[in-house]
Amino acid sequence: MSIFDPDSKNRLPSAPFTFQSTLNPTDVDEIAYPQSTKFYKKDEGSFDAESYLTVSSTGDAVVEQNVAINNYQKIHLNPLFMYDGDINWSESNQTLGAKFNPSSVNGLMCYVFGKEPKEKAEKVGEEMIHQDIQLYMCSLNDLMDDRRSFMEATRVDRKDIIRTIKLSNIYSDYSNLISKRIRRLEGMKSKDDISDKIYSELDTFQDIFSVWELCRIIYIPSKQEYNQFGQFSHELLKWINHCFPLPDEFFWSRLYKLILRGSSQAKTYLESIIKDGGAEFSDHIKLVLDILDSRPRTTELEYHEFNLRRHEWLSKISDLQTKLRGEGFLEGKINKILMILRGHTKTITDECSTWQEALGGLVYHRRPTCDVQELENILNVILKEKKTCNTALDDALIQFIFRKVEKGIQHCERIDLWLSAHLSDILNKLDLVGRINSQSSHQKKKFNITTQPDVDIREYCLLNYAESMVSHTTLWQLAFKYFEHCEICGYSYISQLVVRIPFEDEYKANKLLSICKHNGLTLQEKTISRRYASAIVYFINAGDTASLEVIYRMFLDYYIDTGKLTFLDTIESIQLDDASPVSIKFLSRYRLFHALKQNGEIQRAGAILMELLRAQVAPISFWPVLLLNALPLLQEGKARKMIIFSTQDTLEILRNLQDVTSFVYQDECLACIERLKKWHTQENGYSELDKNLTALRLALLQNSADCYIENSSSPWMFE
Amino acid sequence: MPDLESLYTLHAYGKLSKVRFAASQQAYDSRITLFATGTWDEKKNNALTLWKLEEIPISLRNLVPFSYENKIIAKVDHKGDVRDMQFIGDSFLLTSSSKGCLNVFNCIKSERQTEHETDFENKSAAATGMAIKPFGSPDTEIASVGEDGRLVLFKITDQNHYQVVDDADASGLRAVSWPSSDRIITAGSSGQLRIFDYRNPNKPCAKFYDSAHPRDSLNCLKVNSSQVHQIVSGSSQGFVTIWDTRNLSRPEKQSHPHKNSGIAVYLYISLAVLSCSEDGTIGIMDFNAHAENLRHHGSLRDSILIRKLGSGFNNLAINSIDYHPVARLLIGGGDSQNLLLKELE
Repeated sequence: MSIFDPDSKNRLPSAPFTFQSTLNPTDVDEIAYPQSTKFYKKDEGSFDAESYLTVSSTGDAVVEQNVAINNYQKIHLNPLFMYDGDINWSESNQTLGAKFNPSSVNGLMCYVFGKEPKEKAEKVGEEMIHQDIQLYMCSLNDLMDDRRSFMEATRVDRKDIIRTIKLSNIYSDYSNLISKRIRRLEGMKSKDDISDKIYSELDTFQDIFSVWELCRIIYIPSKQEYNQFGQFSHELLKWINHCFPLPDEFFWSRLYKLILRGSSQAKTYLESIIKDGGAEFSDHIKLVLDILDSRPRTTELEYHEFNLRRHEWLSKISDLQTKLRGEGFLEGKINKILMILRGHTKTITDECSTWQEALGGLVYHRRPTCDVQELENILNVILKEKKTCNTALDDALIQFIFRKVEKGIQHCERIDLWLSAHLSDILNKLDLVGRINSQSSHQKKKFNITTQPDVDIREYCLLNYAESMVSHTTLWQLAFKYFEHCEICGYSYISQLVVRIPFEDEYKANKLLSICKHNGLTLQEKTISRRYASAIVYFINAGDTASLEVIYRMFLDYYIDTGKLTFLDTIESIQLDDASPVSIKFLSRYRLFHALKQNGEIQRAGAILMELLRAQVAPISFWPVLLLNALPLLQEGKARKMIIFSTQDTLEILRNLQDVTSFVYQDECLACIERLKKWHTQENGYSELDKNLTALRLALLQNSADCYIENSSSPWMFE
Repeated sequence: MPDLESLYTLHAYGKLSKVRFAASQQAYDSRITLFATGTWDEKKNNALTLWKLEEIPISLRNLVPFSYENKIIAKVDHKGDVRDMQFIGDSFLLTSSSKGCLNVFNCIKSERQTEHETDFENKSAAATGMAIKPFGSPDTEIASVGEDGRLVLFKITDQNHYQVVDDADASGLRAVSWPSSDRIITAGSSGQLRIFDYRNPNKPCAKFYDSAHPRDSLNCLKVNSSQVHQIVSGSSQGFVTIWDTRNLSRPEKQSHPHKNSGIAVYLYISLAVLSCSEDGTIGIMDFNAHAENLRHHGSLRDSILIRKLGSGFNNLAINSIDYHPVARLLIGGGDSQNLLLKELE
């Protein structure tokens, strides 16, 4: 659940669905209302109850919103989905479907689902096997691609350096990157193919820039001496002039605004009055120009001297005002200019079209030496007169001016996730953003909940931003870098999402593994490699004995069925140590046994076989095989007149043989012998098999007899 | 994090998987150096980019942060991730792709363009490394390995005939090198190094691995060009190991420059080794005897001198490095979409 007000409409940046359609919406022939609740959760993504998803006959997935029918985003499947026009979809019981990516609402998966009716399959008389039908992964947020280099350049990797480099430097680095991006977008705008996408992206970034710069002025300690008085009003005015440029207007109101904004252009305007035939007013206008020129500057003077000069200057203005009284046409106009210069609140607020302008005007003309704390009061005065438009930008700016950082960041989230994440991160490092309660205090009283943990805003924003990148095919690594910076939930996000990144080859798999390693995750993903050896190594490293067991059983089954040992070569390229799982060690030893047997080193082979028998690792279904493996050794030993198994060993084998053929394990044993019979034949050079393994028993008895003779011939027996 | 020597960075338009200098050419102005970069994991098109580095005259160097000026001179699409890259002679660039094929690109000199020439599709899995037969005959012979564990030998002029060693390794192979004309060495995720005889490649004639770190998979291989029995490997646990093929029982020298996976190594000036890693740093190690002598003087005991380079803001993986011995220039490329450059003394 969102920590923010779930009722606030339009909380996420209203992803502008601006893809130009090549088809009419009427071409859409199948409408799939989403069953997943995900669609309906407002706090989950850009889909709300009004959105639904359609898949058209040409294979275009369309996200539509009911509110306005032309407000939809069309995604073209690439490559085009081809299907035979003759296939009747209803007959084959199939349809195109789409699902959201579990790790992000921005990803979409399209596929053919449904299966052939059962009756049809029976008619053919054999199991219908379909080839895999292509899956389409679509991303709903195509904007990202264009933004990649920006996102890359602005990632938070600066935790360790934060102490050595001043935060303000980092902050202005970000500023530069944002304005660079704005310049780039403006460059794209001038090209022919103007798309709405670029415009909205440009708007977003301009909003980002104005919030970013305002926060710099208010919260970030400046690089120069901070206690420079008047610095603040200067910066604020600069900000307003840059972020909210003057719209085109008629002469006089434009002039007033230029004066308001402290622009030097105002002078050329005034001079133009004289030139354009207003010669009779030239004296007055020259006086005004003189006043404009003589405005005391904060940068040049000491504080008390500045105040003195300003006082003189203000009285000079009121002198002029009295002088002008009754001077006809221009009186009102020039008087207004002088009122603005004197910092008359009413005049200033009346002349401004936006509250930002009023704020700048008041600060510049009325309180040029004010500091950040005073800004709140000034804004309060303005808000009584001026209305704000309820855009995310306005809301955010106002909250930041009122120093309600948490609320401001919540509004920033409506502008862009990037902004909320990075702003909260930096402000957090300045100890300005803390935690907020996930429940309002009112709710807390009502439900008497006190245990609900607070939410760390910084982390919440970072997670949100990073999550938007997880489903991106290229930027997913960045997402994990961001998660690493989230102390509380980052780890669990990583562990959940790392297993959901699709990969095609080992290279990318290794990248994922190294993310796990870097974060100390006990590797959760069961990296199923095509090659068993790689899989085994991965499983060993991951400590996944269960999966190893599966492979191990597969190998043993393969041997029981075919008698071939080729698979064991796989084991050869895996180096084992004491800590390796028993199952793999068993396979390795078993391979060694066969290799020794092949080379005729039957004595050593016998020793290894006894070791394997005593270890009791093999599954019961494999026991007959192990026991039977003793038979060729016994025969070979007899031929070479060597004792392979001592009396003790022979007894051990016999005991095991008895166990296996006893009624407890009889079924498994018989099943195994049945399977062995396929290849364990006399033609292949093996002895005949029966259910009691008689041949083996006989050989063992002979062996114990041989042992006895051998032992009895030794002089020790007579003592 | 220890203090890192900084690197000059440059936006590279994509996550780089490979960087390679072109062999120094007489034909070009000696102040100009060419190199190529390849990307991976791009949504639509991976790209192969040819860059030009031009030395800035000494008189102007104070004005710029880096003494080379760089320019992109060509860019082409590449099918699949670029996994390995090698210049053949003056004008050909050979790449291996995650789609399992090898491509040859022709860098036409006059127009400075890169053009797709041929490709060889003979793999069932992603191709990884490749090596060119040294002291080659006119038709260049190439050994290529892939994640399917196969070793493929073929001549670049003859696409129809190639020799496939199916069971070169049971695990995926990641690197191959061809130190002398009849000897091919492979390394892969099993952690084994295998030596194949070119005349009879069907069975490896030797296998060896680092018994101190079993199962530590190897990511890269490099042969000392002056002493071909010396091989350097980089492993997933961050070890850089020097092997002597005349004595396979144990590694000759080893160092541990990276905590995380080491990805590429480059052997420069006899026994000094460059390595880069998943942790975003470049290590420079000196395995030379004089460095060993230093060790006996107390403070440096048991450690091989390791210098670390990194760009302050980067801790995403560096995937590839290359070194230009004449210009003494190091380039690196990685997942941070930046190209890293550094002049080494």
